[in-house]
Amino acid sequence: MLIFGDKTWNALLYTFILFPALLFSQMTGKLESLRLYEKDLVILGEDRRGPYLLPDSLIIENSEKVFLNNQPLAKEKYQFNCINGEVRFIEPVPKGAEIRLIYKIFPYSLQKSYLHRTIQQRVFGAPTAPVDPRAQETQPESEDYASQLTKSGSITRGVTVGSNRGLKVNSALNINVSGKVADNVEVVAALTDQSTPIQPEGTTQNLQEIDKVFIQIKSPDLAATMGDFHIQYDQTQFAQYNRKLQGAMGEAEYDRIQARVSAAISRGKYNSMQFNGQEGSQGPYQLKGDRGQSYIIVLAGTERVFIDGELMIRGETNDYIIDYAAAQITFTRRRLITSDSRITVDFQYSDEQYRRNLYSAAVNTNLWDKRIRLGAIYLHESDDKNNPLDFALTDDYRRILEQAGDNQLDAVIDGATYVGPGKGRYNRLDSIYVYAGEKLGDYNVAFSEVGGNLGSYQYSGSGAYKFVGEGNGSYAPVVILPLPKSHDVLDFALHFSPLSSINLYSEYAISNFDKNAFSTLDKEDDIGLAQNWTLDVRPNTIKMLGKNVGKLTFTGKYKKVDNTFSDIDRTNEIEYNRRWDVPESMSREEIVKEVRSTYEPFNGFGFGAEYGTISKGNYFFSDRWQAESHFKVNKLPAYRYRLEQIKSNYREKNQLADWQRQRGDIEWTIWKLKPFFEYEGEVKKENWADTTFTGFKFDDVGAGLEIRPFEKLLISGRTRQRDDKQYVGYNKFSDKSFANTQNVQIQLQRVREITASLDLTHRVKSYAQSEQDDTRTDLAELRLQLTPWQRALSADWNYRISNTATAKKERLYIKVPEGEGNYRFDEDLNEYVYDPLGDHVLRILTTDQFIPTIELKTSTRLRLEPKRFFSQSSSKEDSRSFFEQTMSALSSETYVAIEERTQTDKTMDVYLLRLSSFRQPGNTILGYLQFRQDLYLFERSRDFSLRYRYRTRDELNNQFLEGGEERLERENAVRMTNRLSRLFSSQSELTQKRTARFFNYAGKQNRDIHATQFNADLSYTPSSVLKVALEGRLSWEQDVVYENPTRVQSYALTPRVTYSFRNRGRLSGEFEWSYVDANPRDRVLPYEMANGRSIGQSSRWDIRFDYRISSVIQATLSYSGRSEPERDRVIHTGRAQVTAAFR
Amino acid sequence: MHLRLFFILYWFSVLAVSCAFCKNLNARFLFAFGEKGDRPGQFFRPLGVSSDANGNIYVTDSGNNRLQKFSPHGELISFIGGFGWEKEQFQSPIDIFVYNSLDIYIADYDNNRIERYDKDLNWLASYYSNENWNPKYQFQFPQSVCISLHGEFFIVDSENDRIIKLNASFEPELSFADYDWGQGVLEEASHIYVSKNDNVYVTDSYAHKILVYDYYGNYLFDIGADVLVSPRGLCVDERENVFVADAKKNKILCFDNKGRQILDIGSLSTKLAGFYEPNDVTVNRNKLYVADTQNHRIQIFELEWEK
Repeated sequence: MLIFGDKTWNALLYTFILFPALLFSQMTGKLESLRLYEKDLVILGEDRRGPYLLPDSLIIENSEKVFLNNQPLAKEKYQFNCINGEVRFIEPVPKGAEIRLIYKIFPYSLQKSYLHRTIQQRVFGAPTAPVDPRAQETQPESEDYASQLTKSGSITRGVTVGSNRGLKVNSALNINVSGKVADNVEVVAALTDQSTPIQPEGTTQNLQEIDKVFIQIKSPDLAATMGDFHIQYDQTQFAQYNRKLQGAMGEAEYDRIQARVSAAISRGKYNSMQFNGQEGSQGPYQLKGDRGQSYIIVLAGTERVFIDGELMIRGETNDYIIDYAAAQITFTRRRLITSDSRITVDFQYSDEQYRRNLYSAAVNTNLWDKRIRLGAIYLHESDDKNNPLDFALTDDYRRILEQAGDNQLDAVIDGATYVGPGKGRYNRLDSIYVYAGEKLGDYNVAFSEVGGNLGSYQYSGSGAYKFVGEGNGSYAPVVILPLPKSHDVLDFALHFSPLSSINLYSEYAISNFDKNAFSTLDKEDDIGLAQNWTLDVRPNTIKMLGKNVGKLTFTGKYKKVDNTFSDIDRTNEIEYNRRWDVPESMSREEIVKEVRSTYEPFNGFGFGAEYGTISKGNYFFSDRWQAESHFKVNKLPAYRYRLEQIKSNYREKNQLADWQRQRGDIEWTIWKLKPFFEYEGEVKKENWADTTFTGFKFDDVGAGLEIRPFEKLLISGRTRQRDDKQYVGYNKFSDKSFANTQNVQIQLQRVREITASLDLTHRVKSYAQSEQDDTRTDLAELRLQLTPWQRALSADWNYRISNTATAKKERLYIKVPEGEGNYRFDEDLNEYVYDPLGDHVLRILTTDQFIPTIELKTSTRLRLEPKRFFSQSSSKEDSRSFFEQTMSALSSETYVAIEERTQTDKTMDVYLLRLSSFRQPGNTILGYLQFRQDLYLFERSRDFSLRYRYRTRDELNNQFLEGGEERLERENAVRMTNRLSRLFSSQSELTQKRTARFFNYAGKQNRDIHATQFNADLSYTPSSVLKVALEGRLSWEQDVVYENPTRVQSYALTPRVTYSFRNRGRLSGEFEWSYVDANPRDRVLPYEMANGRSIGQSSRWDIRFDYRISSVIQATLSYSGRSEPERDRVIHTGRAQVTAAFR
Repeated sequence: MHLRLFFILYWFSVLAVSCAFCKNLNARFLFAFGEKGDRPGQFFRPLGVSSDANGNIYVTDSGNNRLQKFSPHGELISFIGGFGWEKEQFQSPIDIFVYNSLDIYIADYDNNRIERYDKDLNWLASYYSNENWNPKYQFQFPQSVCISLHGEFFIVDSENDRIIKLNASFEPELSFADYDWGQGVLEEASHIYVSKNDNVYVTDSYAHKILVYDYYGNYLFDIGADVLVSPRGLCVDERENVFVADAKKNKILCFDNKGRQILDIGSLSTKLAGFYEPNDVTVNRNKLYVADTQNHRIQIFELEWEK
């Protein structure tokens, strides 16, 4: 008999018997002859997908049976790793759900692996001296952690100097470290100071918002995070806190104590907004700061969006998308927004007023076998009052702030400064400032955003503000001195569980909120207290006479909050005020008492009830009760139902209200059908002391059906009807509106190479009042993918419509030092033109002016490669017929993209892609059609290939504040690439082009340029290190907007040479000479003509030398120059850069 | 009878062990995640996979036009995207590259741009080719993107089957492997990877090989010309071992720094550890991640180096 405990014997057994047996069994299926043990075990779900580790490894493949809550689970619902002994589920297994596993194992004690030779992980830094991992196991102290640490990065230093600019120093640093630094201690660190280049079209997030540092050190007991991180406290009610920070955080766990401390700069300010959606508009909705200001930047990833209390998920395929820089949120077609949608957004925004410091500390411990848990949290958030970010703190300002107390409107200064005639931008007429233009006025005026309808001016674009009447604007000619704030919260919590089924929770919190750290005034309301008590009784099951009669729970809560207690973050649930019918403007003070009980006689069926009261001093009182029930057992019809009643007394305004809410749904799966029915209804009656009545009533009824005829096809349809009425008193209601919503969804998954999905929503809301027009909403998304004939044809089509609003935009050219921008102002053209040595950069700002539109986006791509089909059908290339060979040489690609944002009433014309109705100047805000057709002969051949391309793009853009613009582009081009010999290769292209721009506002010159161009490039490679090339270009262009067209001829020659130092570097030089002639010569050429060159001779040259000094250091030297007719001197630019890398 | 069976088994095992001696790298299947569909965590033709220092896995779910992030255990953390050409939208995102564990770069093919996201999948920037650049430096339909140790961009311009190199400020510096490049001309450029030793590796699925260039675009040598059929995504580890996904052979192969093949795993199969048109591969801390495209999943293997 073999002794299996011996590793050698085990190895022999595995090598000589079991391993071949396993292989053999795979071939013959004779494994049954071996006696196998069967295991049967139950593990509990942990609200995750896995992996769930099993006590056995090397399990017999396909022997497993998996049950979830006693229901057998299909194989596609889980993954079973027989070698490691792991099971993973496709969907997360709910916490506590029973997973039963039955599988077979070998009747031997086998290890996971047996080694004939030492397995060695090759690690960088020790390639020639591998360390025996088994030796590592026995001698951990000798482990060479340094060699296991993965380190990489680079440091770059460079200078740029030019005849039109000063010396500019460039630097960049990138470091990445990861791995073990000691026993059980791992580090992951990333650091970069690399800035993101500002893209001309505003396609860059604000630089300050980009994470640049992340350091994480982990060990079993300690963890530290430094850099950019999120901090979250969510275990208590009054010290809930969620912030994006820059700083450091440490966490420790020792025996029964867990602690966390952090010190950081808070990158944002918390704000929460609540608003209702607009009927027929998915967005964008503008997020605003705490004073109602629109121009804020939301910190990426800090927002939490709720609709009707339900948390939304960001993403085009989910519920909403957000433009952080513009602070605008838009809901996707998957989440229909109506005027009944209650939207709540919690977010942090960068307000740039003061540097804000944050400290936090939390400690938790447990006693008496974890029956008692104690915790304390301290949060401190304060503005650094001596370091304002957007103004200089003078003694005068300090005095104003000290005297302002807690009132922000007392801390303002006049924004107007008299600078003298012809030196300012505004004139003053009867105390109103009127924009006159740059250097045309007497005053310079600074405006501040004071919130909607609190100011008297409105922004009209291009840096100008316009008086719109007192209380009609959101700007005022003042400079606001922001009040520095300081906020502390200290929270103590106690959990006591004398029995496993009884939990007592108690929490005390104290807050100190100083609204003006400069001032000694208004301090009496800074400090507040809050407390919370909860008793939770949850016996698992109740037994009577030895029988299980179900589960019963009981919860009682008491909460008291002082009027002066100040929340540092959201502490109440979403829609807390709606729950209790509390008016929005109510004070913080409250006493809440609640009891709740549920009873579940058996799994799947239960009911419960709750009752509670809330009082807010002597001003407001409300009591609320709720009953609910649910049923879901096997294949029987399942239902949920909830009924709420809230009676409130708003004593301050002598208002009595009675609000009843109901919600329920029922569904039933019968064979391949699933019918369902939904209902939601509310009745609210508000009686005021002066015998006026307000209130509403609605009934929202929905029904639908899901059909799954076979696994790969799902069809569902639903309809909802909502009837809204207005309360007129004495239990009578009058009609208000009626809405009808239909939705159809079809999903087809890869049936005969076709994948398709359709999601279509249509809603019409009609109003009882005749003066209000019906509102229509259409949302649709269609996706189609088709790949037949071995993918010789590959096609896809995306189509989407939505009802949105389109925000007006503004081009902002920001002045930068000469040579550092990419635009310059051309005074002849009266416009900014591209110039790599320019002195302006372009940013595009999104304003808060919205225009309701319907939006269509669609694109389709069709690629044809007959070669794929023939290569599958006939195995040998030589055996193909002439037809097959000819067709294999051809390929084509067609691409069409259309976008249309329009105000047209003829929506069906847009939905059905009647192109003649697109890009109409009176309706279209933004619209374009892009088409490209490529035809190839020998597409992939470098010896000879030919491409014909037809490309067109028509665009109409009315989105910008300065006015609309129409742009047309057409291109017909033939390109030939061929290798003439081993040394020579060439590429030539003949192009016919039309480029037209028409402006509907004054000051810009229209253009319609027709051009014929010929380019030829010939290169000669006499050796592997030397390449010489010559490029020539001829073009004939005419601008036909004039009766007598402007004619331009241009010629360019570009010789270039490259010499390579194999693996060491490269020296390259290029010289371009061009000549432009025009008729008539005295006419200003549009930038699009002659590639932006002016009439006359231009030359540009560029020499560049890259060299690797050592394996870690490389250097670059470059020199470029340009001589152009529009410049009175030659521009020289030199650059030197050294990069050191570490690996 | 038993004796005969014993000898058969014995020689069979000897044969198996001898084959094992031929290689010095093994890949042990760990787990896979994902299935076909458009719900969170599902995929439809995932084309790109990459991983950060924490082991988090990023996947370009191309058929669904989105980017998904998973924990090291394959649990979905977050996702972003959807069809379109605005921020946080994609049209056929192909390749993905995690740089410095802080930034994620995506080659957004049909939108002609490189997208940059932070590690939490917040949009940071969109990089476009500029029509005012020299035409030799312009790119269309970027198929693959990689950032070198020095922070410089390397982009596969599939319109012209060439490589565009841009500096950290996204200013073009060099284009190479174009039709006029002599040796090292690309015929169908697929994916790119710049190793820590500054070698530039490009898969050419038409020429069936991996071409290697120095940091300045000088052609050095090629790898796998006799073995590869349709090489796609690739990854190079610290020792210059090149891992490549061969979509037609349905295999993942690895070549050492001498060009010798040291790993060959997979075959056409829908079963675990089998592949159906794998399109991308990445290696991080001894783990091999494979975008198993037509099986609509990501597979993870553990690499075991032999002495």
